Amino acid sequence: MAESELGAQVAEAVSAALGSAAAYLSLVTQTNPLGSASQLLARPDVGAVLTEALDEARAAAGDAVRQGWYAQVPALAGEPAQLDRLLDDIGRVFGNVGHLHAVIRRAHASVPPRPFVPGVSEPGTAPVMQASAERAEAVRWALLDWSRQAALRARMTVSTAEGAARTLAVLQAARGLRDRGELVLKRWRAHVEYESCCFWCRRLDGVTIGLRDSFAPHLGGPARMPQAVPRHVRTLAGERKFGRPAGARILYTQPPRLYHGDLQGPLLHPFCRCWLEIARRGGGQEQRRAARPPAGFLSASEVRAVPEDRYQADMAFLQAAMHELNLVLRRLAEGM
Amino acid sequence: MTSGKGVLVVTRRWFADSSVSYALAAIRLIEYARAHKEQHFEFGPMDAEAMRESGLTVSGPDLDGIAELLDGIPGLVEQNINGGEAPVPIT
Repeated sequence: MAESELGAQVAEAVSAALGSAAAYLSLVTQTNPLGSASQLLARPDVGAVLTEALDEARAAAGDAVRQGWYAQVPALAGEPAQLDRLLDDIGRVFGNVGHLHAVIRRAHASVPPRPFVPGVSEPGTAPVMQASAERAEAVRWALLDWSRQAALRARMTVSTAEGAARTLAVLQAARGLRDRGELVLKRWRAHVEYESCCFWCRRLDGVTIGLRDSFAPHLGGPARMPQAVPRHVRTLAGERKFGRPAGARILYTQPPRLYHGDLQGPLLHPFCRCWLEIARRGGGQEQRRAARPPAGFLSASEVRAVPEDRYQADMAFLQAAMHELNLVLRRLAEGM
Repeated sequence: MTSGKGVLVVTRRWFADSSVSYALAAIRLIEYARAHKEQHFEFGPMDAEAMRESGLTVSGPDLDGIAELLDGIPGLVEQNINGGEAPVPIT
């Protein structure tokens, strides 16, 4: 499913909340040509405006995430842990006014003071006021730019909430069938007919596995990117993201990082159009790729997705196993 | 030493400690992945039997650091599939 109207609504709400704050800070910056960034941020009215804007944006985004979630899953059937994680994501984006302070300080400092210098400055001009107007504009644009990024993150979270809830609803239905004695599997489906369908979703299309299994192993293995539908860098943001000029081909050598390290079903990434369907074991077409074994490859992103405590425990186990294996082999070699 | 992007295949040179060598290589790769968030690569297979059959394969856009990482593990031989080079001992 493409992005829902909810995503567009939340982007609009975030932009409106922070747009008002940007306009206010721009006005205050311009009317205080000799003020510093610290003085600007220390003003109670500025602090209140920023906090209010962030609160408003967070409330709008949180409501949208809940709405997107419960539109797919009945309220009583929801898994609070998944929803809580998504709301935490929203909280991290809009919960720290320090992010905005840093953005404002950078923008403020980008236009240094320009005092009137007799004999140098053109008579009749007011360089101080010109600089303050430019500084105000820099602050306004910096805040608007931040709000656009925050709005995008909120849209992504809403998209993830909708997709995760949709998957959960399918899994709940599948568990119901299983409880009634049916042998059911889950199958990943991708809109492979769309050119925008990504390489990794195409790779997962048709993969059919047990209800409790993860799709993650089916992503692994060396990527054969020449088979992918070619995509190209088109925007300035794309140039920054991929480090390649406009027009260059985008090479996705790694699958998207999994949300909290697991992949029980779509979405693989925000704005993913894939869906999950139930496959009854022994049916006609569901075994198309069921026999495909997991690739057994591990990606760096999967390693990084492992929680720290589990990583430390696993590494300690591996190191101990290595030590034991080494000792055994040495004893064998000495005995030979 | 292998450089650039592509696929690096690490095979065994002799049998005696190949299991230890593979395990050590895997651990180093895991630690490297954990410590270098900017690095993107895949390695495997993680199944011991498959590893004995095919060797340890590493693929990614930048394998310079990986090749150096595996340098010094006894019994391993590297081979750069992309370059078509003959296996070179990395010990």
